[in-house]
Amino acid sequence: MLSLLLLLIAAMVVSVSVGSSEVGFWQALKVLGHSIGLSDNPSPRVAEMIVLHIRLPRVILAALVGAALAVAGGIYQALIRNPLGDPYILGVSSGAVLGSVVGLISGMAGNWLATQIFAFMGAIVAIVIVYQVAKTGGRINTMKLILAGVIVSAFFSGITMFLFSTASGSTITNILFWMMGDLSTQPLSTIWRIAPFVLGIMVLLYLLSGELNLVMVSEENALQLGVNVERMKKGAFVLASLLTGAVVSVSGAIGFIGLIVPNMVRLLWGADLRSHLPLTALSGAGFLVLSDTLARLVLYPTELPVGVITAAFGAPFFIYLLKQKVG
Amino acid sequence: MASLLEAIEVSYGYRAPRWVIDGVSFSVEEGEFVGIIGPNGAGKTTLLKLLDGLLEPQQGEIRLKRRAMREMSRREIARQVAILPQEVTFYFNFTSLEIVLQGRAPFLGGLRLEGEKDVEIARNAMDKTGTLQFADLSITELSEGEKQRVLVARALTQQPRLLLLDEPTANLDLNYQVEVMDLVRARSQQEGVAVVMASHDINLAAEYCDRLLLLKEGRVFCQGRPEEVINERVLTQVYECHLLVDRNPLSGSPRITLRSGINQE
Repeated sequence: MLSLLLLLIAAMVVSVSVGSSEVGFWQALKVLGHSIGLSDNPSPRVAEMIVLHIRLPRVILAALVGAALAVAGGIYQALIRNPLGDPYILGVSSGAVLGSVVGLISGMAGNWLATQIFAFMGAIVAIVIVYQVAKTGGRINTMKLILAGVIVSAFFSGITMFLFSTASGSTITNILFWMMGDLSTQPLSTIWRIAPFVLGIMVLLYLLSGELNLVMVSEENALQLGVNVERMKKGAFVLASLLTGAVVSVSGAIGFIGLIVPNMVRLLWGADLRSHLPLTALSGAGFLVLSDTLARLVLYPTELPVGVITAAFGAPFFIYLLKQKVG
Repeated sequence: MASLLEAIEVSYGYRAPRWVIDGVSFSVEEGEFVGIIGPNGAGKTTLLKLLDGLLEPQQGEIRLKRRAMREMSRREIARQVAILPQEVTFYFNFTSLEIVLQGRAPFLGGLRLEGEKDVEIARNAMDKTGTLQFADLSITELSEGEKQRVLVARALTQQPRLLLLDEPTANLDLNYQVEVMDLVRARSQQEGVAVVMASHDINLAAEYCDRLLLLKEGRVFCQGRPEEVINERVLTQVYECHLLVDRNPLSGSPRITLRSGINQE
């Protein structure tokens, strides 16, 4: 756990230190060092601006979003007893996107709380529909689950597109970039607003991890071992969807983190959620920080939306899991 | 003295005339070993789930130590009743020890963090079911029989007053059938654990049970000591086939043998 945390910090430092402007690696390190009191000689003002006010917020946001999406994926996987649980595949992300767009277009762009609430409602509606469609006689059918996720995603994206076509031209480009998953446009103040929320929900979810372990075997198993399953399940679904809604409204729908990270962590360190969730949060943070770094470097000096990078890793992994899993 | 478990006129089903369980009454004493036998679809598994409170009867009542089960919380029930399910599919790579330790969950706090004592109870149960060598292996890598023994270890780890077994030997090789059943019987006799076992294996039930409950189409066809329940007249009516009843030469328990070819005559 500790080594993973150190790795994450290292990844964040590296990520802050590379980028498309003329501030070099060492220069960036000096700025960082100065800002936490490690060195006395101040760097040029421009470098400080770029590192502390452009790159650093972005890296912190990447870590936060990565951790949140990975944890949400881990929770969905436990709840539906299926390694394909992921906010993006289950349509939760597109629900949150639609909610956010509705919020933005109906003139609440300045009101972050309203946007959050809309995103959350979209996420909840999506997961409820998908869950109900995929449930047959108390069991979740994998094929139905994926199909329901695809269909709900397509439907919600359709409505989102419709809303676009009625929106004014200048906002469209912004929203489009954000929809593909974008970490670059947020100021530090946004981060300070969502960070306590995201971290708080993750703590609450962690408190459920002992009971969720029992649900991962089967709901009857959890019932038999003394868990009030229905109540706990609803709570976990709502919290995971809140988590997804919260980060999607800020960063757009970044796919596949919730799929790759919890599964890799489970393969490496086991399924027990009491250690799995913290490891997933750290790995998810690290994964998105590195993906975002790549997104900035691959087509230097232009940038890719980070969703492109995670999809490039995630889609093949998804196919691998689908091949592995029968039923 | 009141019974550990009482079922009073219990009915359960999807809609009124077609009960899956229809007006079943019986009781189980501490330390008693009761078998539920009957053809497929007679309601054996459903009855066990009712006894564990996983299903709620539409009519009648089930009482555990004189308390109505429907008024007890899941946790209260779980501290006294354990069930060995018929079949469990595992989707995630928990280790066998982690699965066995889940049996301690009803006794632990929010995060279900196990202490040394819990691990000791779990390892002890695994030792007795011959599964200790699988402790660190993923449960998904085990064979059906190995999984079954891990689940038996877990049921023992739960340290129940009432142990419900649903076809406990279905996936087990002969040697493990005897081992598991002997182990359960020993627990029952030494610690007064009551056992209710649903089984399609009449000979196994006759060998281990103090009392048998023969179900047909959700109703109790007859109940009593194995010698009373297992006779040719009763079984022919319930199972609609011909068989011979004699005695197990080793234990003296009643034993059935199928008669083949008689239906064609």
